[in-house]
Amino acid sequence: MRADMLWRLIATYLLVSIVGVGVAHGYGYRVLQGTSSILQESSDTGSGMPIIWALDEVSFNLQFDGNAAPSSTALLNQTSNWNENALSTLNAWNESGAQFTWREGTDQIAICDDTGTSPDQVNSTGWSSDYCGIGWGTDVLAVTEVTYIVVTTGGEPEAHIVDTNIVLNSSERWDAYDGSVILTTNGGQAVFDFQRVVLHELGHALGLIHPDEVGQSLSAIMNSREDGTFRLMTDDLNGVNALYPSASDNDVGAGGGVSDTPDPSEEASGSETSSAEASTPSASRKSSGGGAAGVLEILFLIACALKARRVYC
Amino acid sequence: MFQLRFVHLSIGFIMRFKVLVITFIFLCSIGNFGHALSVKSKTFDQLVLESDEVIQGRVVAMESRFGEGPLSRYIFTYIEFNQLQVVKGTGEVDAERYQLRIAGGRVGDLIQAFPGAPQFQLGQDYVLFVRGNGREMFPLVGVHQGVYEIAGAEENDRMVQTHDNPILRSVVAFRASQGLNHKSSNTVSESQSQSRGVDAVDHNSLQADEFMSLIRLRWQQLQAVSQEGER
Repeated sequence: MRADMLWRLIATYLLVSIVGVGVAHGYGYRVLQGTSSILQESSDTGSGMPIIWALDEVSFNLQFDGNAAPSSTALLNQTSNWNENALSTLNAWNESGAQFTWREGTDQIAICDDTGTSPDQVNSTGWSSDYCGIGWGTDVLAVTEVTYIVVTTGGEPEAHIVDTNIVLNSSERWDAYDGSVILTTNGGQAVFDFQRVVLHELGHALGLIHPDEVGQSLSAIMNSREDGTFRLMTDDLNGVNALYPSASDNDVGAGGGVSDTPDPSEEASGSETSSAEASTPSASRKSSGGGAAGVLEILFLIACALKARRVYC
Repeated sequence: MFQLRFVHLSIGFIMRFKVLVITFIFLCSIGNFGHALSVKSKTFDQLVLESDEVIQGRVVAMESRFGEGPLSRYIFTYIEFNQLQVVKGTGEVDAERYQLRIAGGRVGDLIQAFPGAPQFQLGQDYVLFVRGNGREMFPLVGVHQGVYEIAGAEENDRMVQTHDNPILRSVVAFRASQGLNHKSSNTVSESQSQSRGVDAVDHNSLQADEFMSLIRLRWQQLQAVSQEGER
């Protein structure tokens, strides 16, 4: 690369970075900052190492058709069971182009099984009328519990996701459909769309947080406020690609494959953020070839973390 | 005749304006759900009505530990507030301190997180709409919708952070419907802004004390409506 071109690129990057502080908007993720802090939330323009999975392939047990499940005999999207819908949401994230794959797991551990250790490293899903013995709190439809392990290897501490569970509130009314949320005529009680809620919760399980709570102002399934979005949008794809960039393509947001057509303004905003996103660091991760070593490392980390509970040592 | 008609028109306009404001509040209140965790969207009235307590306080301590008995696999964070102002309460609220229990936290190297749950900072002031404290995972009406951060340390500069929040927009609309003027919060910045030829008063901003007064007012109104209905 010629020197003048390099300088031009550096100058452009600096200019966009400076301007971007005020105007760039995008996905959010969590970072660990400082030894004593719990967690900080950061936007695409923020600093710090995102908290993500150390592995690039993780199993998720889909147990949405268990005993506590609401009826799914005739769902509005012509499907007839919840797991089928859940699988399509796993696949939607898998088609993002990011270097991360959800696999459908086969472990059948009940979502509220409290006989094992925590974290149990079994990523579970399911329905419950409370959160495994604790009241849901007002108005909670679904919860994603994400467990992180903090590792300090000489320098700054890092954190990795090691376990996650998604539980949906079985006391609410559920169906599966596209489009706006259905308000019934009976007192305006909503019928919630299973797919968009699970899609959103899986984004949390990947390490994404609510972009609209870190300064973002465009459509995303990961937004904290429901806006009629029911599929992954450009910002969601940018987010997961930034957290899990593929080895062959470091261009953030290059992933696609999701049958969604974000509006042009959104596309424009998405491209606006690309330079800032490219500077987002992703945590050190195991390649797919290092899966076994990665699992051993995670087991070691969990064992160390369990010291905090005096289970071991 | 003309004057009478004018007066009639004015009353009509005011009535229509009130209807518009009420309609606006109603439209703001029609929610489906927010994705935080995921939770249902709440309205200002629901926050006021459904809360056990509405308090303003400063975080002075936070401690995370594992639950006991059947909750032993969960980490809870206990957040202690002081400098309390209680707008609504069951009478059991200690005037000196208040402890909120919320699911999630860090114990040693293990962090249990519930993305979307509100996060608190030491030394920061908040307005909280609490329900089910000590019983529920997230004892706040509408979870994140029941927490409002207050910025600014000076008495006349303590503002509720709006973050384009639809509930706070409806609070501002409620203030207008009551004919209450926006309290100019920061006279220094206002004069500075005026000197630059900028409209100084942000009519969408909300002072912390003003927010508490509006909550108190709305709570009284809703109680009155409820008592009227019982008769």
